[in-house]
Amino acid sequence: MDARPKKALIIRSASFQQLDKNLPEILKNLSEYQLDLLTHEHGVRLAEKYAQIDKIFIYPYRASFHRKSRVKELEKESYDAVIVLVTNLTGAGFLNVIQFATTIRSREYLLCNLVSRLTPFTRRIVAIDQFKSSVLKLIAALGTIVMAPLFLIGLLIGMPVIRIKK
Amino acid sequence: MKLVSVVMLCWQRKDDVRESLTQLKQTTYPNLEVIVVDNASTDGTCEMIECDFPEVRLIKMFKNIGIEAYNIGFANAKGEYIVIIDDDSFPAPQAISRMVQKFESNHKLGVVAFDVRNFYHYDEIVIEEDIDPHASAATAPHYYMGFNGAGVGIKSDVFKRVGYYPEEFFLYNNEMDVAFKIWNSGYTIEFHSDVISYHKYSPQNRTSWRAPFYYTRNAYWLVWKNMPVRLVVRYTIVLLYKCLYASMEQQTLIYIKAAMSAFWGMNRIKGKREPVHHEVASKLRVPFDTFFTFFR
Repeated sequence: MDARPKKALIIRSASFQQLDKNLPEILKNLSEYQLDLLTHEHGVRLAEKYAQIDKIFIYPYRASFHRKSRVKELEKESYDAVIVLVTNLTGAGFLNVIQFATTIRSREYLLCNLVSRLTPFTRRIVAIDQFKSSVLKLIAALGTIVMAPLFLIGLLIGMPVIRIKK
Repeated sequence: MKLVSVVMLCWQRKDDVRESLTQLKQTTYPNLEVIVVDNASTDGTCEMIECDFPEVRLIKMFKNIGIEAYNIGFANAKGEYIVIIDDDSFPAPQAISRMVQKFESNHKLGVVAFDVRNFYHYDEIVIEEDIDPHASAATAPHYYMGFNGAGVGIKSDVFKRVGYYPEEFFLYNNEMDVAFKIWNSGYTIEFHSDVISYHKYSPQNRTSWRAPFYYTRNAYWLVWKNMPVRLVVRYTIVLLYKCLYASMEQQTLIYIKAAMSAFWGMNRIKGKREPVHHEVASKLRVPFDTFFTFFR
Protein backbone atom coordinates (compact mmCIF):
# COMPACT_ATOMS: atom_id res chain seq x y z
CA MET A 1 0.00 0.00 0.00
CA ASP A 2 1.35 3.41 -0.96
CA ALA A 3 1.77 5.31 2.33
CA ARG A 4 3.09 8.45 0.61
CA PRO A 5 0.63 11.32 1.06
CA LYS A 6 -0.98 12.48 -2.15
CA LYS A 7 0.42 15.65 -3.66
CA ALA A 8 -1.01 18.19 -6.05
CA LEU A 9 0.68 21.14 -7.76
CA ILE A 10 -1.25 24.27 -8.67
CA ILE A 11 0.20 26.28 -11.53
CA ARG A 12 -0.68 29.92 -10.85
CA SER A 13 -1.64 31.03 -14.33
CA ALA A 14 -4.41 33.30 -13.03
CA SER A 15 -4.55 36.20 -10.57
CA PHE A 16 -4.41 35.75 -6.82
CA GLN A 17 -8.00 37.00 -6.74
CA GLN A 18 -9.05 34.03 -8.80
CA LEU A 19 -6.89 31.61 -6.83
CA ASP A 20 -8.56 32.89 -3.64
CA LYS A 21 -11.86 31.86 -5.23
CA ASN A 22 -10.64 28.54 -6.69
CA LEU A 23 -8.74 27.32 -3.63
CA PRO A 24 -11.71 26.38 -1.40
CA GLU A 25 -13.14 24.24 -4.24
CA ILE A 26 -9.74 22.64 -4.90
CA LEU A 27 -9.39 21.87 -1.19
CA LYS A 28 -12.86 20.34 -1.14
CA ASN A 29 -12.13 18.09 -4.13
CA LEU A 30 -8.59 17.18 -3.11
CA SER A 31 -9.03 17.19 0.64
CA GLU A 32 -6.32 14.62 1.39
CA TYR A 33 -3.70 16.15 -0.86
CA GLN A 34 -0.65 18.15 0.07
CA LEU A 35 -0.84 21.28 -2.07
CA ASP A 36 2.19 22.89 -3.69
CA LEU A 37 2.13 26.05 -5.81
CA LEU A 38 4.19 27.18 -8.79
CA THR A 39 4.26 30.94 -9.30
CA HIS A 40 6.38 33.61 -10.97
CA GLU A 41 8.95 35.27 -8.72
CA HIS A 42 6.87 38.36 -8.03
CA GLY A 43 4.09 36.17 -6.61
CA VAL A 44 6.09 34.37 -3.93
CA ARG A 45 5.54 36.83 -1.04
CA LEU A 46 1.84 36.99 -1.83
CA ALA A 47 1.51 33.19 -2.04
CA GLU A 48 3.25 32.68 1.31
CA LYS A 49 0.11 33.86 3.06
CA TYR A 50 -1.91 30.79 2.04
CA ALA A 51 -2.24 28.51 5.06
CA GLN A 52 -2.93 25.44 2.92
CA ILE A 53 0.02 25.64 0.55
CA ASP A 54 2.90 23.43 1.60
CA LYS A 55 5.67 24.31 -0.85
CA ILE A 56 6.09 27.22 -3.23
CA PHE A 57 8.15 26.74 -6.37
CA ILE A 58 9.43 29.67 -8.39
CA TYR A 59 9.03 29.86 -12.16
CA PRO A 60 12.25 31.79 -12.80
CA TYR A 61 11.28 33.48 -16.06
CA ARG A 62 9.59 36.77 -16.84
CA ALA A 63 7.47 35.42 -19.70
CA SER A 64 4.38 33.19 -19.52
CA PHE A 65 4.62 29.48 -18.82
CA HIS A 66 6.14 27.56 -21.72
CA ARG A 67 6.95 23.88 -22.15
CA LYS A 68 10.54 24.66 -23.10
CA SER A 69 11.12 26.73 -19.95
CA ARG A 70 11.68 24.05 -17.34
CA VAL A 71 11.82 24.40 -13.59
CA LYS A 72 14.80 22.42 -12.29
CA GLU A 73 13.30 21.79 -8.85
CA LEU A 74 10.13 20.29 -10.37
CA GLU A 75 12.05 17.79 -12.48
CA LYS A 76 12.74 15.80 -9.30
CA GLU A 77 9.08 15.88 -8.22
CA SER A 78 6.21 13.55 -8.99
CA TYR A 79 2.58 14.49 -8.37
CA ASP A 80 -0.83 12.86 -8.17
CA ALA A 81 -2.44 15.90 -9.76
CA VAL A 82 -1.28 19.05 -11.56
CA ILE A 83 -3.87 21.82 -11.73
CA VAL A 84 -3.84 24.61 -14.31
CA LEU A 85 -5.84 27.74 -13.46
CA VAL A 86 -7.59 29.39 -16.40
CA THR A 87 -9.33 32.77 -16.39
CA ASN A 88 -12.23 31.79 -18.62
CA LEU A 89 -14.69 28.91 -18.86
CA THR A 90 -12.94 26.75 -21.45
CA GLY A 91 -9.19 27.26 -21.13
CA ALA A 92 -8.95 28.91 -24.55
CA GLY A 93 -5.69 30.81 -24.83
CA PHE A 94 -3.96 28.68 -22.19
CA LEU A 95 -2.47 25.96 -24.39
CA ASN A 96 1.05 27.10 -23.49
CA VAL A 97 0.34 26.55 -19.77
CA ILE A 98 -1.42 23.24 -20.43
CA GLN A 99 1.54 22.02 -22.48
CA PHE A 100 3.92 23.17 -19.74
CA ALA A 101 1.84 21.28 -17.16
CA THR A 102 2.31 17.99 -19.02
CA THR A 103 6.10 18.31 -18.71
CA ILE A 104 5.65 17.73 -14.97
CA ARG A 105 5.35 14.10 -13.86
CA SER A 106 1.80 13.49 -12.62
CA ARG A 107 -0.90 10.83 -12.46
CA GLU A 108 -3.55 13.24 -13.63
CA TYR A 109 -3.92 16.76 -14.98
CA LEU A 110 -6.80 19.11 -14.21
CA LEU A 111 -8.06 22.43 -15.54
CA CYS A 112 -9.64 24.75 -12.95
CA ASN A 113 -11.72 27.46 -14.63
CA LEU A 114 -12.95 30.80 -13.36
CA VAL A 115 -16.04 29.26 -11.74
CA SER A 116 -13.80 26.66 -10.02
CA ARG A 117 -14.93 23.70 -12.12
CA LEU A 118 -12.23 21.02 -12.28
CA THR A 119 -11.95 19.23 -15.62
CA PRO A 120 -9.40 16.51 -16.35
CA PHE A 121 -7.24 16.59 -19.44
CA THR A 122 -4.71 14.09 -20.78
CA ARG A 123 -1.48 14.20 -22.73
CA ARG A 124 -3.42 12.73 -25.65
CA ILE A 125 -5.92 15.60 -25.64
CA VAL A 126 -3.04 18.06 -25.40
CA ALA A 127 -1.31 16.39 -28.37
CA ILE A 128 -4.48 16.74 -30.45
CA ASP A 129 -4.85 20.40 -29.40
CA GLN A 130 -1.18 20.92 -30.20
CA PHE A 131 -1.73 19.61 -33.71
CA LYS A 132 -4.77 21.88 -34.22
CA SER A 133 -2.77 24.76 -32.78
CA SER A 134 0.09 24.12 -35.22
CA VAL A 135 -2.33 24.39 -38.13
CA LEU A 136 -3.81 27.63 -36.75
CA LYS A 137 -0.31 28.99 -36.12
CA LEU A 138 0.63 28.37 -39.74
CA ILE A 139 -2.48 30.13 -41.00
CA ALA A 140 -1.95 33.02 -38.56
CA ALA A 141 1.68 33.32 -39.66
CA LEU A 142 0.68 33.41 -43.33
CA GLY A 143 -2.00 35.98 -42.54
CA THR A 144 0.53 38.06 -40.64
CA ILE A 145 3.01 37.92 -43.54
CA VAL A 146 0.29 39.23 -45.86
CA MET A 147 -1.20 41.85 -43.54
CA ALA A 148 1.84 43.06 -41.60
CA PRO A 149 3.36 45.14 -44.42
CA LEU A 150 0.03 46.95 -44.89
CA PHE A 151 -0.28 47.56 -41.17
CA LEU A 152 3.32 48.73 -40.85
CA ILE A 153 2.94 51.12 -43.78
CA GLY A 154 -0.21 52.43 -42.12
CA LEU A 155 1.73 52.80 -38.90
CA LEU A 156 4.59 54.58 -40.67
CA ILE A 157 2.13 57.06 -42.13
CA GLY A 158 0.35 57.35 -38.79
CA MET A 159 3.51 57.72 -36.66
CA PRO A 160 3.96 61.40 -37.46
CA VAL A 161 0.40 61.79 -36.23
CA ILE A 162 1.29 60.02 -32.99
CA ARG A 163 4.55 62.00 -32.73
CA ILE A 164 6.74 62.46 -29.69
CA LYS A 165 5.27 64.46 -26.84
CA LYS A 166 7.26 67.60 -26.05
CA MET B 1 0.43 63.58 9.09
CA LYS B 2 0.21 63.79 5.32
CA LEU B 3 -3.15 63.96 3.62
CA VAL B 4 -4.16 60.91 1.58
CA SER B 5 -6.84 61.23 -1.10
CA VAL B 6 -8.87 58.12 -1.90
CA VAL B 7 -10.35 58.32 -5.40
CA MET B 8 -13.10 55.99 -6.55
CA LEU B 9 -14.83 55.89 -9.94
CA CYS B 10 -18.32 54.44 -10.01
CA TRP B 11 -21.02 53.49 -12.46
CA GLN B 12 -24.27 51.67 -11.67
CA ARG B 13 -23.16 49.80 -8.55
CA LYS B 14 -25.03 51.52 -5.75
CA ASP B 15 -24.84 48.66 -3.24
CA ASP B 16 -21.16 47.96 -3.87
CA VAL B 17 -20.35 51.66 -3.56
CA ARG B 18 -22.23 51.83 -0.28
CA GLU B 19 -20.29 48.87 1.06
CA SER B 20 -16.91 50.19 -0.09
CA LEU B 21 -17.52 53.61 1.46
CA THR B 22 -18.71 51.99 4.68
CA GLN B 23 -15.61 49.80 4.82
CA LEU B 24 -13.42 52.84 4.15
CA LYS B 25 -14.60 54.28 7.47
CA GLN B 26 -12.67 51.43 9.17
CA THR B 27 -9.39 52.81 7.86
CA THR B 28 -6.93 53.49 10.67
CA TYR B 29 -5.18 56.32 8.83
CA PRO B 30 -6.59 59.56 10.28
CA ASN B 31 -5.91 62.15 7.60
CA LEU B 32 -8.06 61.13 4.63
CA GLU B 33 -10.24 62.73 2.00
CA VAL B 34 -12.55 60.59 -0.10
CA ILE B 35 -13.48 61.60 -3.63
CA VAL B 36 -16.06 59.68 -5.65
CA VAL B 37 -16.46 60.41 -9.34
CA ASP B 38 -19.74 59.12 -10.74
CA ASN B 39 -19.94 58.28 -14.43
CA ALA B 40 -23.63 59.21 -14.85
CA SER B 41 -25.19 56.35 -12.88
CA THR B 42 -28.96 56.06 -13.13
CA ASP B 43 -29.53 53.65 -10.25
CA GLY B 44 -29.54 56.17 -7.42
CA THR B 45 -25.81 55.97 -6.62
CA CYS B 46 -25.37 59.74 -6.36
CA GLU B 47 -28.44 60.21 -4.19
CA MET B 48 -27.25 57.44 -1.87
CA ILE B 49 -23.79 59.01 -1.51
CA GLU B 50 -25.22 62.48 -0.84
CA CYS B 51 -27.58 61.08 1.77
CA ASP B 52 -25.44 58.46 3.52
CA PHE B 53 -21.92 59.82 3.02
CA PRO B 54 -22.11 63.62 3.12
CA GLU B 55 -18.39 63.79 4.01
CA VAL B 56 -17.47 62.36 0.62
CA ARG B 57 -16.64 64.80 -2.21
CA LEU B 58 -18.90 63.70 -5.02
CA ILE B 59 -18.14 64.75 -8.59
CA LYS B 60 -20.88 63.94 -11.08
CA MET B 61 -20.33 63.37 -14.79
CA PHE B 62 -23.16 64.02 -17.23
CA LYS B 63 -22.27 60.99 -19.32
CA ASN B 64 -20.12 57.89 -18.98
CA ILE B 65 -16.64 58.91 -20.09
CA GLY B 66 -14.80 55.83 -18.81
CA ILE B 67 -11.49 56.23 -17.02
CA GLU B 68 -11.22 59.87 -18.11
CA ALA B 69 -13.49 60.57 -15.15
CA TYR B 70 -10.83 59.19 -12.81
CA ASN B 71 -8.50 61.98 -13.98
CA ILE B 72 -11.01 64.59 -12.87
CA GLY B 73 -10.93 62.99 -9.44
CA PHE B 74 -7.11 62.92 -9.42
CA ALA B 75 -6.88 66.58 -10.45
CA ASN B 76 -9.18 67.52 -7.59
CA ALA B 77 -7.27 65.49 -5.01
CA LYS B 78 -5.40 67.56 -2.42
CA GLY B 79 -3.46 64.70 -0.84
CA GLU B 80 0.24 64.04 -1.09
CA TYR B 81 -0.66 60.44 -1.88
CA ILE B 82 -3.56 59.16 -3.96
CA VAL B 83 -5.17 55.79 -3.33
CA ILE B 84 -7.14 54.48 -6.30
CA ILE B 85 -9.95 51.99 -5.79
CA ASP B 86 -12.74 50.55 -7.91
CA ASP B 87 -16.40 50.94 -6.99
CA ASP B 88 -16.34 47.35 -5.73
CA SER B 89 -13.07 47.41 -3.83
CA PHE B 90 -11.75 48.94 -0.61
CA PRO B 91 -8.48 48.89 1.32
CA ALA B 92 -8.06 46.80 4.47
CA PRO B 93 -8.13 48.92 7.66
CA GLN B 94 -4.33 49.05 8.02
CA ALA B 95 -3.53 49.33 4.33
CA ILE B 96 -3.27 53.10 3.96
CA SER B 97 -1.18 53.56 7.13
CA ARG B 98 1.25 50.91 5.94
CA MET B 99 1.30 52.43 2.46
CA VAL B 100 2.29 55.83 3.85
CA GLN B 101 5.07 54.24 5.94
CA LYS B 102 6.51 52.61 2.84
CA PHE B 103 6.45 55.85 0.86
CA GLU B 104 8.05 57.75 3.74
CA SER B 105 10.88 55.23 4.06
CA ASN B 106 11.75 55.05 0.34
CA HIS B 107 11.76 58.25 -1.67
CA LYS B 108 12.29 56.45 -4.97
CA LEU B 109 9.06 54.54 -4.48
CA GLY B 110 6.45 55.99 -6.84
CA VAL B 111 3.73 53.38 -6.49
CA VAL B 112 2.71 51.01 -3.70
CA ALA B 113 0.75 48.30 -5.47
CA PHE B 114 -1.74 46.79 -3.06
CA ASP B 115 -2.16 43.03 -2.86
CA VAL B 116 -5.67 42.94 -4.37
CA ARG B 117 -7.52 39.90 -3.09
CA ASN B 118 -10.93 38.30 -3.41
CA PHE B 119 -13.37 39.86 -0.95
CA TYR B 120 -15.50 36.71 -0.71
CA HIS B 121 -12.75 34.20 0.07
CA TYR B 122 -9.46 35.80 1.14
CA ASP B 123 -10.00 35.90 4.90
CA GLU B 124 -11.04 32.22 5.03
CA ILE B 125 -7.93 30.87 3.39
CA VAL B 126 -5.11 33.12 4.45
CA ILE B 127 -3.22 33.38 7.70
CA GLU B 128 -1.89 36.88 8.11
CA GLU B 129 0.79 36.46 10.69
CA ASP B 130 2.83 39.50 11.48
CA ILE B 131 4.57 40.35 8.24
CA ASP B 132 7.85 42.18 8.65
CA PRO B 133 7.12 45.56 7.00
CA HIS B 134 10.75 45.67 5.81
CA ALA B 135 10.35 42.33 4.04
CA SER B 136 6.88 42.72 2.56
CA ALA B 137 7.88 43.76 -0.96
CA ALA B 138 6.81 41.23 -3.60
CA THR B 139 9.30 41.98 -6.35
CA ALA B 140 11.46 40.18 -8.85
CA PRO B 141 15.12 41.10 -9.33
CA HIS B 142 15.11 40.69 -13.12
CA TYR B 143 11.94 42.42 -14.21
CA TYR B 144 9.61 45.26 -13.38
CA MET B 145 5.93 45.01 -12.51
CA GLY B 146 2.85 47.13 -13.14
CA PHE B 147 -0.06 47.39 -10.69
CA ASN B 148 -3.79 46.68 -10.25
CA GLY B 149 -6.15 49.67 -10.33
CA ALA B 150 -8.47 48.07 -7.76
CA GLY B 151 -5.98 48.99 -5.07
CA VAL B 152 -2.91 51.18 -5.49
CA GLY B 153 -1.21 54.15 -3.86
CA ILE B 154 0.66 56.70 -5.96
CA LYS B 155 2.64 59.81 -5.10
CA SER B 156 0.43 62.69 -6.30
CA ASP B 157 3.18 64.80 -7.82
CA VAL B 158 4.63 61.84 -9.73
CA PHE B 159 1.20 60.83 -10.97
CA LYS B 160 0.46 64.38 -12.14
CA ARG B 161 3.81 64.55 -13.94
CA VAL B 162 3.09 61.39 -15.93
CA GLY B 163 -0.34 62.70 -16.93
CA TYR B 164 -2.60 60.43 -14.86
CA TYR B 165 -4.54 57.73 -16.73
CA PRO B 166 -4.63 57.72 -20.55
CA GLU B 167 -8.12 59.02 -21.28
CA GLU B 168 -8.25 57.59 -24.77
CA PHE B 169 -8.06 54.02 -23.43
CA PHE B 170 -11.61 54.25 -21.95
CA LEU B 171 -11.22 50.91 -20.13
CA TYR B 172 -8.36 48.48 -19.36
CA ASN B 173 -4.60 48.63 -19.74
CA ASN B 174 -4.60 52.18 -18.35
CA GLU B 175 -2.53 50.97 -15.38
CA MET B 176 0.06 49.48 -17.72
CA ASP B 177 0.43 52.79 -19.55
CA VAL B 178 1.08 54.57 -16.27
CA ALA B 179 3.52 51.84 -15.22
CA PHE B 180 5.69 52.54 -18.28
CA LYS B 181 5.82 56.21 -17.39
CA ILE B 182 6.47 55.71 -13.66
CA TRP B 183 9.43 53.39 -14.26
CA ASN B 184 10.73 55.67 -17.00
CA SER B 185 10.71 58.67 -14.71
CA GLY B 186 13.06 56.92 -12.29
CA TYR B 187 10.52 55.82 -9.69
CA THR B 188 9.72 52.24 -8.71
CA ILE B 189 6.55 50.19 -8.37
CA GLU B 190 6.38 47.62 -5.58
CA PHE B 191 3.72 45.17 -4.50
CA HIS B 192 3.54 44.72 -0.72
CA SER B 193 2.06 41.63 0.89
CA ASP B 194 0.92 43.54 3.99
CA VAL B 195 -1.01 46.22 2.10
CA ILE B 196 -4.30 44.59 1.10
CA SER B 197 -7.24 45.71 -0.99
CA TYR B 198 -10.41 43.62 -1.06
CA HIS B 199 -12.07 43.31 -4.45
CA LYS B 200 -15.46 41.80 -5.21
CA TYR B 201 -14.01 39.64 -7.94
CA SER B 202 -16.97 38.37 -9.87
CA PRO B 203 -15.93 37.74 -13.46
CA GLN B 204 -19.30 36.26 -14.45
CA ASN B 205 -20.72 39.76 -14.34
CA ARG B 206 -18.32 41.06 -16.95
CA THR B 207 -19.83 41.50 -20.41
CA SER B 208 -18.04 39.10 -22.72
CA TRP B 209 -16.83 41.46 -25.44
CA ARG B 210 -15.57 44.52 -23.52
CA ALA B 211 -12.51 43.01 -21.84
CA PRO B 212 -11.04 41.25 -24.92
CA PHE B 213 -11.83 44.25 -27.14
CA TYR B 214 -10.37 47.00 -24.96
CA TYR B 215 -7.41 44.99 -23.65
CA THR B 216 -6.43 44.14 -27.22
CA ARG B 217 -7.01 47.57 -28.76
CA ASN B 218 -5.20 49.28 -25.92
CA ALA B 219 -2.30 46.80 -26.16
CA TYR B 220 -1.50 48.26 -29.61
CA TRP B 221 -1.69 51.81 -28.21
CA LEU B 222 0.52 50.83 -25.25
CA VAL B 223 3.16 49.67 -27.69
CA TRP B 224 2.88 52.65 -30.04
CA LYS B 225 2.93 55.22 -27.23
CA ASN B 226 5.66 53.77 -25.08
CA MET B 227 8.03 51.41 -26.90
CA PRO B 228 11.20 52.38 -28.79
CA VAL B 229 10.75 52.14 -32.58
CA ARG B 230 12.43 48.75 -33.03
CA LEU B 231 10.10 47.23 -30.44
CA VAL B 232 7.08 48.99 -31.96
CA VAL B 233 7.61 47.07 -35.19
CA ARG B 234 8.28 43.78 -33.39
CA TYR B 235 5.31 43.95 -31.01
CA THR B 236 2.90 45.22 -33.67
CA ILE B 237 3.67 42.12 -35.73
CA VAL B 238 3.41 39.89 -32.64
CA LEU B 239 0.05 41.41 -31.67
CA LEU B 240 -1.27 41.03 -35.20
CA TYR B 241 -0.24 37.38 -35.21
CA LYS B 242 -1.86 36.80 -31.79
CA CYS B 243 -5.08 38.51 -32.95
CA LEU B 244 -5.32 36.23 -35.99
CA TYR B 245 -4.49 33.10 -34.00
CA ALA B 246 -6.84 33.86 -31.11
CA SER B 247 -9.67 34.76 -33.49
CA MET B 248 -9.45 31.35 -35.13
CA GLU B 249 -8.88 29.45 -31.87
CA GLN B 250 -11.80 31.11 -30.08
CA GLN B 251 -13.98 31.55 -33.19
CA THR B 252 -14.60 35.24 -32.68
CA LEU B 253 -13.92 38.40 -34.63
CA ILE B 254 -13.48 40.52 -31.50
CA TYR B 255 -9.68 40.54 -31.67
CA ILE B 256 -9.67 41.54 -35.36
CA LYS B 257 -12.17 44.32 -34.60
CA ALA B 258 -9.92 45.49 -31.79
CA ALA B 259 -6.87 45.56 -34.09
CA MET B 260 -8.83 47.52 -36.71
CA SER B 261 -10.08 49.90 -34.05
CA ALA B 262 -6.50 50.50 -32.89
CA PHE B 263 -5.46 51.49 -36.40
CA TRP B 264 -8.49 53.54 -37.37
CA GLY B 265 -8.41 55.26 -34.02
CA MET B 266 -4.71 56.10 -34.12
CA ASN B 267 -5.59 59.77 -34.15
CA ARG B 268 -6.74 59.42 -30.53
CA ILE B 269 -3.12 59.00 -29.42
CA LYS B 270 -1.94 62.00 -31.45
CA GLY B 271 0.89 63.82 -29.73
CA LYS B 272 1.12 61.22 -26.96
CA ARG B 273 4.04 59.08 -28.02
CA GLU B 274 6.82 59.15 -25.44
CA PRO B 275 9.14 56.14 -25.89
CA VAL B 276 10.68 54.84 -22.68
CA HIS B 277 14.33 53.91 -22.10
CA HIS B 278 15.27 50.56 -23.56
CA GLU B 279 15.84 49.13 -20.07
CA VAL B 280 12.25 49.89 -19.08
CA ALA B 281 10.84 48.56 -22.35
CA SER B 282 12.75 45.30 -22.02
CA LYS B 283 12.23 44.77 -18.29
CA LEU B 284 8.62 45.81 -17.70
CA ARG B 285 6.45 42.71 -17.63
CA VAL B 286 3.52 43.27 -20.01
CA PRO B 287 1.28 40.18 -20.02
CA PHE B 288 0.40 40.26 -23.73
CA ASP B 289 -0.77 36.60 -23.70
CA THR B 290 -3.29 37.38 -20.96
CA PHE B 291 -5.11 39.91 -23.16
CA PHE B 292 -6.27 37.02 -25.37
CA THR B 293 -7.83 34.96 -22.58
CA PHE B 294 -10.82 37.09 -21.59
CA PHE B 295 -13.28 35.99 -24.25
CA ARG B 296 -15.81 33.57 -22.74
